[in-house]
Amino acid sequence: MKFQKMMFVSALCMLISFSFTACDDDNDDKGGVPTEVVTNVSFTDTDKETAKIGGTLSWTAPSSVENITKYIVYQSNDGKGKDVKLGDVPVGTNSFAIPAGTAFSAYLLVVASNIQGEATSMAQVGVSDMINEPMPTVVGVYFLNSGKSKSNNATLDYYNPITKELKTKVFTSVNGRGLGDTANDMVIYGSKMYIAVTNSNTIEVTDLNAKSLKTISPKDESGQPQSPRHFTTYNGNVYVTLFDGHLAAIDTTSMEIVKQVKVGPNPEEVCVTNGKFYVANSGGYNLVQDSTLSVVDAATFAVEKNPLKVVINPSLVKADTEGNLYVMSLGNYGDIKATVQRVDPKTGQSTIICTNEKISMTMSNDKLYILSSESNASTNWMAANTKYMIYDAKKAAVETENFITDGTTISKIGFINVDPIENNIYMTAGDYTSTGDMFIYSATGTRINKLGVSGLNPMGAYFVVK
Amino acid sequence: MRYLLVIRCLCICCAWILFPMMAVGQHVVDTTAFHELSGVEVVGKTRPSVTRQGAPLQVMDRAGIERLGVNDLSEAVKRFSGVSVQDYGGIGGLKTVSVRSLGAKHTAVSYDGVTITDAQSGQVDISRFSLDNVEMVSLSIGQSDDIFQTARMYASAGALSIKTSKPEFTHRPFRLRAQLKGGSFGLLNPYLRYEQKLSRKWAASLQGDYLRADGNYPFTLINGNLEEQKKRHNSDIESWRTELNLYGDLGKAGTLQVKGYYFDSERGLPGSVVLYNDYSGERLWDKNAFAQVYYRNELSKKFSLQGQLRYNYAWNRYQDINNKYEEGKQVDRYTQNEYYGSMTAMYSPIENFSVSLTEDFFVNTLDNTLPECPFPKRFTSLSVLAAQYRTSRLTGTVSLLGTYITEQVKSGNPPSDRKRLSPAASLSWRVLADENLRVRASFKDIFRIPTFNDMYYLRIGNTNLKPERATQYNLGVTWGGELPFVSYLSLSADGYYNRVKDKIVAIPTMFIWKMMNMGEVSIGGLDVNLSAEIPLYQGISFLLQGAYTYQKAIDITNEEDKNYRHQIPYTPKHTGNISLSLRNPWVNVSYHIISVGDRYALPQNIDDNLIQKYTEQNISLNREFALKNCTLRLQGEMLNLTNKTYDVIQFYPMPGRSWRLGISIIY
Repeated sequence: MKFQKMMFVSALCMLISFSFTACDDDNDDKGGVPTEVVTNVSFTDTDKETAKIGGTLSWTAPSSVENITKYIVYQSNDGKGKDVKLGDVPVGTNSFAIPAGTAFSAYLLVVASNIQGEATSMAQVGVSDMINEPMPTVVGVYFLNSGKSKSNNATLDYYNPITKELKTKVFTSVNGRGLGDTANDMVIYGSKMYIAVTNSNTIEVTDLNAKSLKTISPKDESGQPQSPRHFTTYNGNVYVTLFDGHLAAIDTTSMEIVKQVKVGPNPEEVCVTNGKFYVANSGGYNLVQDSTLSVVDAATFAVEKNPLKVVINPSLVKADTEGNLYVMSLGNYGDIKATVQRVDPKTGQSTIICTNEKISMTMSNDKLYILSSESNASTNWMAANTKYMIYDAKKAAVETENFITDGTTISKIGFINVDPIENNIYMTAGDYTSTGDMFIYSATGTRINKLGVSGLNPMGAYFVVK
Repeated sequence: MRYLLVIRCLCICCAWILFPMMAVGQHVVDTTAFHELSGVEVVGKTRPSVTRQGAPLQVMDRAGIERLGVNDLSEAVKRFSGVSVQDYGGIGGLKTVSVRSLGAKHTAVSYDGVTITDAQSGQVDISRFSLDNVEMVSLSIGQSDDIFQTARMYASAGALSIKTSKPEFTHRPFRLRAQLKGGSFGLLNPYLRYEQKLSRKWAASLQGDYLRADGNYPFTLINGNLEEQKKRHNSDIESWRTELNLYGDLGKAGTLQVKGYYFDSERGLPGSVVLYNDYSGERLWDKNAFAQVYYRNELSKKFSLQGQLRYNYAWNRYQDINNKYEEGKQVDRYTQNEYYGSMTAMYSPIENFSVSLTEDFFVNTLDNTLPECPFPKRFTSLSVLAAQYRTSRLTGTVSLLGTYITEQVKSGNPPSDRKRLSPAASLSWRVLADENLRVRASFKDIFRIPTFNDMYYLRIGNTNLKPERATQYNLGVTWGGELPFVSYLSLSADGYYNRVKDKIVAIPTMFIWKMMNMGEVSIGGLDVNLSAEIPLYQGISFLLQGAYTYQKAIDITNEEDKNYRHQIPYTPKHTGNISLSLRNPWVNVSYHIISVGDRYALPQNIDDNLIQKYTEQNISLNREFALKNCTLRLQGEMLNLTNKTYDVIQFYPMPGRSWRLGISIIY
């Protein structure tokens, strides 16, 4: 959020600077008021109080400052009117300290001035009020444990990364009832969390303390459960794939499914980029699995005619900021192994990043983290000889094949998640027989912690960022 | 309220039964009547002696079945020690028998001497057998003393045998038995059997029964702080069963028995209880037919022969209506065929010594509609050489089983041939000449072959599987005799140790499972059995039967596993049951209480996996009336008297309090 705002402000500033450079009409009257205009005006509010601002306003001086003696700083509500004068600084100083607690206005103006008076042209910058938004940090991490099918033992654990304290089974302790049978995925969006419990056919909508606000049980016209699988979020809505072949939109206020669209068979993960959803159709219950991604237009919520073709049995799909897709297909459990491929959705062209017998992956800050393991008769069908890879999406190249730098390894490895702020790496391990483990590594690849979680088959770590 | 009512009814019943009994109890007890009334001596003719066996043998005969009011096979088996019946609940729910923590696939089930098999799943659902017309149910653990039996009976760690009764003609050349049972949850079960004497040498019987039940019993679901009253649904069952028998006693030419059997059923599979989701769309149709011929000839005092031929056809259709399939449902069909032949020769050159040679040969095929079915065909040869020395004080038996299995598949690689020698030995010794106190010891090294599902099931099967090996040791004492006021008392205590290696387990890979030889289990335990008959007065006697089992069955596969040395799933440390039965001229009453200790649903012994211990109580009343030409029998039962909520298999709740009534007429 914060990052986006900064980007927006800088973009706006650039635009303003350009426009003022362009509008800078040639007035050679050296004796009159200044004609020059400052550029690159920027201001970041550091006052966390609502409707109050404070911080340093800075700018770049014009190329010629001969005719300028000082800069005057105004507040403006419309970007033109000099509503409140905040003060001035002599030429040569290109910043102005706005004291904390200053009342908010939509714009700040910087006007060059000399004895003759103030310039008629001015530079402006839009102000965004920082409201209780400290530097974002990961304040908590939820661990979702699928449990064993037909055992009704899905659980949710809460980990405090600062105190390193683990609270187990928080859903049950907060709500006085179990989470259900085989939790598959969850997402934290705004002030709510959404947990998909596949066999129980529930989407638990909770607050950030896991208190259930609503339980959605998606059913088709015949009353059969639709079995939620995976989430993504877009434009204020939460989207969920349903195993009967649908993508559904959940309104975050009413906490209800508001629309559904038919996609391919047994959809798994979904991601969104450039206004389009890409749904991995596994077709896991078909005799021959599916090998397409359905493309759904986010604006019309209609499926496009031509799906994207990928390696058989796609399961995970992620997007980078440039709109490339990264798809992990499970293969056919026979001659076609699990495959990670990079797909350009515009051309449909794909390149294979890696193949192996067991792969899981996650994307964070344009880095694709891949766990690529062998799993066959000689490894007792457990994940073994795991490669811990990072693929740099920007450079389109494998950055490392072993991001663990302290020499430790993880056996029976499962899934991976990376926190978006500090890039700490969370990896699960488990065997469906006993309760699983969570391994936490720093961004530099050293082990921070190993925790026994409360349930079987941990599915991943989900981050509460504040 | 309902609970109170039941208690009140029971009190009235008890008073009604007890009052006349107390009245007669005040007469001077005639001691000679004690011996005349011993029911056990009467039935002793047909049942083998339990106390002189070299390995544990437990028997329930017709007299016991009727007296205790036992209605189905699983109820009979639950009264034995050392066994656990895995019960998925309800009338149509799967019920399998596991002996001494070895797993149901190590238990053979035989019906009139021929082993019932399922090469696909490897386990037999005993809910399919009714106890109507069953003469005897017996369970042997380890090496049996019977060396005149099929090789298949040697080839398992435990064997449950069901023997049906032969026609008896006392007054007329025919006999008719009609019976109707009904009960809670829509149970209706009419049964008809007709026996006809055809000639001096031949007799025939024809029987059929139909069973239906809705099975929609209520149960209580506890979820955290919530307690919900729910009902099972999609647990209906309908089945038909027909059996035709032909009996021939050809004198010196031997005896012959021909049997034809057909079973047809349709049932809903309610599945486990899933929180927040009641949907269940699975159904199963079964058809099973077999024909068998059994021939036996005691050629001389020294030489006997028996032979069997059998053809078995099993078909089932599984349907799952679920929107996760693109067509909206999945339908699988499985067909299995078995061709079986067995021949046994026994030779007794001297009075106390016999040797036997048995050869079984059979072919199993599987055909299903799943993709990539390799249509496996399995050829099995079992050869047994056994010898026995038997005097009144000593019985010693040794046997050696040779197994050879070869398999053909239409696609993929066939597994390599399997050859194995399995020795077994047992000894029973009467310590004192004038006291029926015996010490017994037995050993058996046995294995189970991977099932077709283990090897070929789509994606999860593994053709490289090795057989799962089990080694059994048993040491016990038995005592049988009389005590003051007790006409018959039998007591046995056996300590045992079993070791299972290369246990076949399903291991999850990323998204599918794979069968593996992965486990090792160490099992130690104690079985105690007690049976006593106490005559009270003329026509009144009291029977007590009890069994207790202690089992410590721990997983010793890998020291690093979180479940290392944890008790394996579904294995209670303590199990016990007691039957009390009062026979009298008015209404026979029997009461049964079974108590099963804490178990774990999953390999890790943590609270989350705990299945609570339970105690279930049943009461049964019955009376026979001798009418002019026929016998009329009435029976009523109240099951789970205290309406206890419990699971045998986690999230497969068992029915609460329910009743059953039966009426039968023998003409």
